[in-house]
Amino acid sequence: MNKEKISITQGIKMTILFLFGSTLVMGTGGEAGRDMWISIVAAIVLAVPLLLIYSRILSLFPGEDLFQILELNFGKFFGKLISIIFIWFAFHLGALVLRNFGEFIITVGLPETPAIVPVIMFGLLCIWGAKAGIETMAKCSDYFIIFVMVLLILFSILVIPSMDTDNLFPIMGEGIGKAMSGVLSSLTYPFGETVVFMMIFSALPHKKSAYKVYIPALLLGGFVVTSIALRNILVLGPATIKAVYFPSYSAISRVNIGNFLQRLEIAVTIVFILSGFIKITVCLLAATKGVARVLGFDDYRILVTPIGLLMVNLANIIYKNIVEMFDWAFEVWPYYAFPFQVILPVLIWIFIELKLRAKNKPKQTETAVEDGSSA
Amino acid sequence: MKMTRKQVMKLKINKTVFLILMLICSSIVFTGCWNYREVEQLAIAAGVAVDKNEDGTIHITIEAVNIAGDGQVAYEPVYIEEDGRTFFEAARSAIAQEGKKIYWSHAKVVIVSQEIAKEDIVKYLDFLFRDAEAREDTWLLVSTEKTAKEILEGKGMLKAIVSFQIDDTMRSQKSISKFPFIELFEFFDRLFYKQVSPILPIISLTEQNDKKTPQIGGTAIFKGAKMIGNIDENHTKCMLWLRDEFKGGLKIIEDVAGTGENVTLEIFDSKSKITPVLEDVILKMKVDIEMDVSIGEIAGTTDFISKSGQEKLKKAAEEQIEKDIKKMYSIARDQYNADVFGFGRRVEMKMPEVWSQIKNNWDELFAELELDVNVNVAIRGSATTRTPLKIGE
Repeated sequence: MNKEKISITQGIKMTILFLFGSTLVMGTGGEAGRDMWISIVAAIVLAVPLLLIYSRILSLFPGEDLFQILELNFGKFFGKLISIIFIWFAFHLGALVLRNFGEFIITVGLPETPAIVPVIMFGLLCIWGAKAGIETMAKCSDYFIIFVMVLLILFSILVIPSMDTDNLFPIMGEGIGKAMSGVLSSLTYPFGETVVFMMIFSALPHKKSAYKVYIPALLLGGFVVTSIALRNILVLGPATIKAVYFPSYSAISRVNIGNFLQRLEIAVTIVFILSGFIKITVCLLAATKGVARVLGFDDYRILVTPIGLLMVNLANIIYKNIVEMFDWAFEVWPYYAFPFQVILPVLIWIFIELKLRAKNKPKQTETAVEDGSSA
Repeated sequence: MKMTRKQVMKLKINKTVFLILMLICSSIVFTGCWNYREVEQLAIAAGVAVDKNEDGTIHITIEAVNIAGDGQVAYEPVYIEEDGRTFFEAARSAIAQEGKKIYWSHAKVVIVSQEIAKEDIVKYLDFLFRDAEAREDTWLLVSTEKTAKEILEGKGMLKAIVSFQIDDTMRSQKSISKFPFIELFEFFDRLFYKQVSPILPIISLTEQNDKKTPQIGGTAIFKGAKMIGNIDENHTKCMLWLRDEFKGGLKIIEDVAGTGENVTLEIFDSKSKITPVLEDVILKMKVDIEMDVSIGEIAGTTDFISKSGQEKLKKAAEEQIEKDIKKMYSIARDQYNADVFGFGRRVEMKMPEVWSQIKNNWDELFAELELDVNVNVAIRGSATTRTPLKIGE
């Protein structure tokens, strides 16, 4: 099977876009009110060890994806069982983001269009993307990141006149507990979601490259997510942020330079489309590769269309309406995602470390594994 | 694996067929939008007045800009009136009447009658906050006339469309300061805070050249979503000082130093430093106001421009402004018990620990809150003349 390769910088760009995905539009850490940025920063700090664990697992078996690693370590049956759990997570996450996108479009732009229409259109695009493979997606990220960053920076500057620094104070006025109440939700959405990349990062070039992708992407992407959260608080204030569905959209709609430069909200849509495309495609790719591995297919491409269409279906039936979507995303998701993102990876890591230690007591772990895995 | 010539050709043909298919698809799918709206099919709302009928239904009056087919904008307002049980229903039934769908994105002004404001403004205007088409940077005003409709039907002085004139006036608030500069989103945002009393500008009609013209001035005071009273233009100025929002305007100093003459000061810049202080467990607000003024008009012949004259004027101005502010403060505190200044928010910002203890009974605390105001006037000049007008002796 011919292996696709992406470079480290491409990996970083992809991961950053993945982090932006729906987060920049829907916001995260809202529980903490005006202190949400503190929650996000704390979540980044907590995410560092978590992503180090992901990287460690990947770097122990360079060139292998999560599914292969599971089969190698847990045997065929249990490996596949755990694989199925992760496939479900990637598949579900992709459907959720797809639905977010659909709801966003019909809420702000096309209220009379059925929600299924943008979901199908976007779904087909993502199927196409996933079929093209990770290399193509990586090249897309190269270009998309420029648009996304330029738009984010430009519009954040334009919205400065509408900012009110009073909105930030008092910092931690309701105690540190309240300020930290958004940590779990920010950790699981979006930072922990990068667990999906474990399923496709077999495309990275070197042994240590998982570290070089995960950590810079977390720090850079996290910095931007925090800045955007800060921007939205400064413009909207904590009460309005709680009240609106899409804080970034509402914030940018406040741009009004000299009564002339205004109504720029569409830029938020562009950011969402570009980063959401990457996020959904990565999820689709991960789920498809997992299914191919579990069923023992050589090429995953044959599965992309059916699984992608299933994803579109799931996105369509998963919520009754936008209210349910936000309830789920902010109230259920942190607890639902925690096992997939934290508990399972940590258990897997501990298991692998123990196993390796037992197997090669006198020898150095990593070199030994390299030999073992290529055999 | 190397491909044969034939295979390459086949691939190329496949690609071309695919491209042609894509082109056909996109030319069918993307050339139109099934719920498209042409500009002449729309009635563009410039402003809307909301009143209440006797039977409790809502009566809305939309001032729409008429657009003739060939891109011609006739600057003639068209009034569309409609009843409904809710705002949205009334706005929708306007389609039935006009045959055009109302396009809200350009609406500049929403005027509500006092009756509605006093009952519950959210009950009637939630739609504005919610609908994607209505923009949040619209002006919301309270009419002190009997209905809100009268205002829109008044005659604009410079612009035929009254709503556009109101928009211009609101934007020049900086040099008038007779009414607060409150954008719709700000009003809704304040509604979420329990301890801040929202405010809105007031609009009424005045006679000018036998025509009734809308005029903005004064402030409507709310407690939650209900209007509880209003204050006039002069009190509004004082309120703006206490909110640190006074940007510029005039202040008349009456009977300066016992001369019986009035001096009009033009205020160019004003800064208020508002700090809550705890003195022996008693909370107090300390407000220091610094302003740059110039003597705009002296209604008399006394010399207030010389050095000693300026001293006198400065002292008189400071005393009077302090007095006026205190008077306004007692109205807000004693008569309405409404924290229109956002003092509660200042306490929260500067003393979060204190605030967490008192936030649940801020109303009672505010009723006894002392204000310590200190005005410092810096006279910058006297327009272009050096002396007062001297009448030949």
